[in-house]
Amino acid sequence: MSSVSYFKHLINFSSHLGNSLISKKHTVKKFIFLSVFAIHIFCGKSVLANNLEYKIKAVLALKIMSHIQWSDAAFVASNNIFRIGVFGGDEVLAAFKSLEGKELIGRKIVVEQITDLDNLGSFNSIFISTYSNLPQQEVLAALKKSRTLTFGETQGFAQSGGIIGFYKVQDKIRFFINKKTAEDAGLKISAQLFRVGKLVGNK
Amino acid sequence: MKPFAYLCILFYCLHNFSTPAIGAPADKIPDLSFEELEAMDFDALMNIKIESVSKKEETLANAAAAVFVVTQEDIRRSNATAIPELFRMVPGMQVARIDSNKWAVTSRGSNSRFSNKLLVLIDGRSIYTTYFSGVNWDEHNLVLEDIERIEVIRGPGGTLWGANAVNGVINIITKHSEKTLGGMVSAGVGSEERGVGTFRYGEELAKDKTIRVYGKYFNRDDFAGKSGESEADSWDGSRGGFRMDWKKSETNAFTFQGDIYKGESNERAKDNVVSGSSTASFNRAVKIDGVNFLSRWKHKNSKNSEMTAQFYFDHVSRRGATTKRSLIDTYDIDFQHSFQLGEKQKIIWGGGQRFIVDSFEDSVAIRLSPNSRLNHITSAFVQDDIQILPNLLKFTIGSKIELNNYTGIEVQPSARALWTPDPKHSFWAAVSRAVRTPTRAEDSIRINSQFSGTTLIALIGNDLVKSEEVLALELGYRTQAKKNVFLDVALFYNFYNNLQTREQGAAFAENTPSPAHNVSPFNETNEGSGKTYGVELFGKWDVQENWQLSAGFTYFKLDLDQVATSTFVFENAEGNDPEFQWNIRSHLNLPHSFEFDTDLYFVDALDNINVDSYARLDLRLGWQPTKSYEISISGQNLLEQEHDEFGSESVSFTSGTRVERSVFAKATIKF
Repeated sequence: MSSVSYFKHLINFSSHLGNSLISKKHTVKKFIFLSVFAIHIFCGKSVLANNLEYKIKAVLALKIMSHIQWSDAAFVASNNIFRIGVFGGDEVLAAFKSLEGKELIGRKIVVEQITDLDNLGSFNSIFISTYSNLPQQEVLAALKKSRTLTFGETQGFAQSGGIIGFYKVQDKIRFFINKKTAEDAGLKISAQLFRVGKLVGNK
Repeated sequence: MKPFAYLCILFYCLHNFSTPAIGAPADKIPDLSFEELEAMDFDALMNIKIESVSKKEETLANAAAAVFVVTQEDIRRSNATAIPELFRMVPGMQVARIDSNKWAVTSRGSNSRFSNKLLVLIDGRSIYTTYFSGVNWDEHNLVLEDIERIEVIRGPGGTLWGANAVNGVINIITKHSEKTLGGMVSAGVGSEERGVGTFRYGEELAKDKTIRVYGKYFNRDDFAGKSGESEADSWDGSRGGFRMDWKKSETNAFTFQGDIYKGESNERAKDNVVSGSSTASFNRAVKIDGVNFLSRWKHKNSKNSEMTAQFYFDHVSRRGATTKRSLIDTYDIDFQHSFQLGEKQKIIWGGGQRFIVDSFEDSVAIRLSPNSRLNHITSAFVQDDIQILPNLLKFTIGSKIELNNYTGIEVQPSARALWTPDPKHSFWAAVSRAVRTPTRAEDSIRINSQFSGTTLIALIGNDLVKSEEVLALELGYRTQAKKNVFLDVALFYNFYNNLQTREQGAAFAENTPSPAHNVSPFNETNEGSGKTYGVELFGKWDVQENWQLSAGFTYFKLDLDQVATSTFVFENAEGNDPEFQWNIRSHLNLPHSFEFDTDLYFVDALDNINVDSYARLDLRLGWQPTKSYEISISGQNLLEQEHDEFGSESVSFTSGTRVERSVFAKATIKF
């Protein structure tokens, strides 16, 4: 069949569908088609993304943060609120937004999407997802000497300048901890965290 | 066309293609709220399995071949009640139901009841029959819930899987028994699928040692006959089996599994009977029984080296068909070893030995000489994955060498390249050679077709028949264009040689069966050559978190170099495969755990066997309030009362029936 005759075919098929939809003899078909349209149109409404993977990462991040001893100096730049920054798309942001409003070490959590390197040090914690618009190494370089706890999910994150690196084993989420990098940022990690996370050093 | 139809189609398209995309994978994942997660401790959080939807695409993105994976979620949400029905969703696959219990399934052409260029394996056990070639799908009505995934590879796969993977390979992979602990009972009833019942129970026998046992019964109604009458092609059967997995240590793991089944496939036979001058038609029941057993040992030598040894036995018996009785016993042993060589190369090599013992009981219409024979295949292969530029450019080269008792040595090499300029795009190209080795029938059959006056027309096997060969060129591109949009394109151009043909030989006289008559023989030969080419497209779009759309499109063309003449007939003629096919599937999650799924398929006409183009619409409404309960009702072929999907071919020995509109309801409880 040539492409022209194929399109004729498509048109014939569509016409056949159309005719049968309006024919009294085909009320069953008409009912089926209208039901399919109706269900898709009325039920296919948009809801906020709730990707399980990022929800788990957000909750794990919250629990990890609660096992860290922060110095008060860390909250001077953040104006005494707990600022969490997210490099990534709407989906990642939506998962972390669930943390907003909660209290951590007596400070209210605020979650913001970050798209540039300005003023990164004012964040207490930053999650750099694989959907970050900026290269991870640039972000980490800009955070040097800051008191920010960094979370990442790319391979080798915790071994190359990051502090907590999420990874997967058989579709289950695990995390690496770089104690040295954390200490350089003035963050003290509780012993309990070392029992659940895996300790790594710099490359 | 009437305005109403325009409006409907336009409205549907507008709605589908203009809704803003807030992407999230839509595969079934545990529905856990933020609060539920927050209440969990570290261990519980780190024990949740994320069945990442992109896993399929991630795996696919690394394959330099046209691969499609049918997941368990695809199976659960399909309307399929038998395995071949699942392949309708795969671009590039041709699926046609011949009657209630028979299908013609292939990829990239040469479709037939005995599609001889598609190799099918269940957990590494070949179910491709070596008698007539192809797959008798009525022997493999598995428990669909036990399937982990089905990998469909279009194009040659001879380098890894050996002969007969000319146009494709299908790997049906069942679940590890660790994933089927506890009980499951499922029951279904419908207008065509009169009754299906499944019971499964899985238990942990010891640490890292799990088992499941199952039983299944099914009973299908007749379809409609070609001329409107009710046809006698009902199908029923039962099967049972087990699978045990034992991880003895970090380095050694064992799997043992087996099935036993029996069934009755009824059909309207169009036997070639030597009585009078016309071909008689009559109803008959084909009785099937079989048993198989497989054991596999996986040994991890080190982090980068793994060995697998596998043995299986398979017995199939069919009684009451044109061949009065066929018994085929297969014994197969395989070994393979994969290891890392330096930083950039991964080698996989292995070998195998297969013995096939067959035994046939003749009828007036079919005779095999000898009646019983031991066939054997010895094989060895090696394949090297070379990371030329890590994460950017990969080459895979390899070859299989087989020694079989029909054609001697066969070599099936392939070379593939994968270029991944960034994680979202990948391009691949492949050139491969594959062969289809002759079957027992081509080698040693005599089919008495019919009398033309006092001359008997007969098909006569030929022990000098050669393997059919293909040289395949393939190109592909995949992109995860956005987090929620995936596209896959494959192009192919295949050159075939030694295609199976039948040529008229010199007439001779014979006395049996009496009366004395002349025979006009058609001999099995390999005089054909030709080419096929085509395009296969697949796209998936997670429109919204609760709505997933996917679509497939296939263009396929077969050009044989010669047309049939009075002395020369192609076994697989042009016009047995649709030139155009497309499908659209929608999975919609509704509030209160309801699911609404729509599958629309269009299949072009099969000119050679007088099958008109058709569209079929299947709908499913499911309700799964918890992981333990599921109820669904589905309707199949809703657009028409009945339609033809495949015609009658000279070799199918049945007249085929018309697929009817049907409804089916099913309930599943897990405990």
